[in-house]
Amino acid sequence: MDAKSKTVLIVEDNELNMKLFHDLLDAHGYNILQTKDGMEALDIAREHRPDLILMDIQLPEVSGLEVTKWLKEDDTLKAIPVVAVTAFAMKGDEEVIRQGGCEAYISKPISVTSFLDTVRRFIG
Amino acid sequence: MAVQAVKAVLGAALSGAYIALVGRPGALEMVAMAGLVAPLILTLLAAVKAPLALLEQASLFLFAALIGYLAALTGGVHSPLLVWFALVPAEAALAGGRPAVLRAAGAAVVALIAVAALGALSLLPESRLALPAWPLYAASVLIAVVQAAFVAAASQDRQRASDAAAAEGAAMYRFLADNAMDLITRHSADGRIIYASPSALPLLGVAPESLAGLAPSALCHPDDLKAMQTAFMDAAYFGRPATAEVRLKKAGGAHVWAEIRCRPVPHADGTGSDIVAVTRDISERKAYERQLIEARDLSEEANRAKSRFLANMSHELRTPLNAIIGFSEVMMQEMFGRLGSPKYVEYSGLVHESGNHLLELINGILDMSKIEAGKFELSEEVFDLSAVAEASVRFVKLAAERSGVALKTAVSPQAATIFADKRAMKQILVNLLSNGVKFTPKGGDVTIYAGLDSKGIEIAVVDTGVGIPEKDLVRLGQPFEQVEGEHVRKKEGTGLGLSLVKALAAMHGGEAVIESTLGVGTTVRVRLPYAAVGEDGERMQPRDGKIVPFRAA
Repeated sequence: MDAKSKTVLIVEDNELNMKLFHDLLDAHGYNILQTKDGMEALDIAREHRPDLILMDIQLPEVSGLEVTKWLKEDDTLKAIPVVAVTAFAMKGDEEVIRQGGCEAYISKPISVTSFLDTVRRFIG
Repeated sequence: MAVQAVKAVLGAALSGAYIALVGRPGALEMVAMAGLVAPLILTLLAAVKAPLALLEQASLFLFAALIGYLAALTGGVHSPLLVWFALVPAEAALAGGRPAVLRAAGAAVVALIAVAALGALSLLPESRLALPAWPLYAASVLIAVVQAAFVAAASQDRQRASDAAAAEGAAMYRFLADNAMDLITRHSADGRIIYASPSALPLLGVAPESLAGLAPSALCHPDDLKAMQTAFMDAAYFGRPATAEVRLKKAGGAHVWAEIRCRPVPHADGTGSDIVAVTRDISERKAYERQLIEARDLSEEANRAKSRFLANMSHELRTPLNAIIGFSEVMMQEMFGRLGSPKYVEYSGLVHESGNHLLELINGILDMSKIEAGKFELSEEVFDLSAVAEASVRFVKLAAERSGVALKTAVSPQAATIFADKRAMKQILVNLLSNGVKFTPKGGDVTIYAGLDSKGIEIAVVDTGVGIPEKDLVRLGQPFEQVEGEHVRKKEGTGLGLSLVKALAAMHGGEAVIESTLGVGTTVRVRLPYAAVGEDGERMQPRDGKIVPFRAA
């Protein structure tokens, strides 16, 4: 597959959803880093510099929006696109998430096809 | 007025005496006598016109001038008529207050001085009196005394009447103050109490006398002091009535909610105002207001809680649905290799379909909540209704096939393209189709008709199902209401579908109407008066005015 060299960091606290995203991206040849912890996500991002971050918004300790804010404040990390993948689908949620610094928004439940399209849009 | 009449009579008597003593009057004397009788005319004038004080004043000046004139004709400073000058201020006392008396006395003095001055300058004609002087003096003084007696008697009467009126007024005032439920107080301009009515006892639990001298700060709750002082300030310094709602201290330290209405009472000498305040116990009304506010807060909190609950529920349901829909889609696509038996492909398709059905339900609940909260926004466009109808049919096709119900569409060419919210139309059709499928026995069918008539676009979903009893028809369309009866109880569903259809139709300025015959079937007509699109692709009946947010009953 042509995307072999690209690495995606998945931040997701639900194990089944993590497995779904992992398997989908794995099947399409991406390298995958994963964590269910927002603080750890920041450390992994600093250490491995992924090409894309899929960010769940509701996380146990700190919210995905908070983690995104830290990422965007860090000059060495802010170029990494952050795509929010969230079950917050009420009106206004998308706006809040985009204002929080996320480059894109995918609502759960995902459609497999559009999920992969969105990922491809950022890292080919 | 009576005074003027008395004066007119006296004037006539004086004129008669003059004629008897002096002889036939000359032209000037005729004028003078006419003046003496003038009060009669004034009386008549006063009967029809308003400024009585002015008339009285004019009549007194005229009276002084006439006496001076007659005195000038009858010997100047020696005239027996001079004594009449004393009657001018006396009459004024009867007619008006102190300023009127002063003005009348002034007029008399001026007339007297004028007569004396004319005499000193020898400008007076010779006295025309025919008789010797002393009987004339006696007669003149006699008439003057009689008139003075009249004036004094009238003045006394008037004083007595005024005293009686004052006493009656004071008694009435005390009666009102003593018996009013409201507390009546009089305050100096700085707000200190000068007088308090007996209602102080029931209202505040203190003797009215003990309130005398107290300032507002000693009377009301510190938080309300400003309101009370502002009201007093308005009354005392700006001269306008004012109202304040304050908590007043009661004996024992408790407070009572009271409404104070105050107004200015100007001092008689014009040196500022006192304040009269009427204070009423409004604790019951305040308690009621507090209850209303609490109830409102409670209901707002309940509404916020409902919104939070919906947001949380939406989130919690979507999270597992993500796995259900996502994994089943991966399996359907056989992304990691073949599933083997075609049954597995079918089953994964069913899992995926059910997951999507559940998602639709969740979306329906959220939509209904948004519509009820007035937060649902339409996004209207021109689109192909036939395509949406076909898509809706595909959506319920599996369920229809399972229960052996045929699905048909009959969209007329004029209704093939409409202007509406596409997602809402699909939701309407899917809800009506799945209701139809749910309540139609095997072998029946459910058809989507769409056409254009004079009232706009009509979409009808017609089934050949069990029908709905008439008594239950009215209840349909309420959220979570499903007709209960043996024949339908076993059916799944929230009753949300039809209420959403009604709400969405209403948001389009239209309506949804149900017709049903037991054992024959049910028809739901959705009328969209503003959805028709002409051949030019423009709306045929644009909608005026704002969209009224729909609220389910």
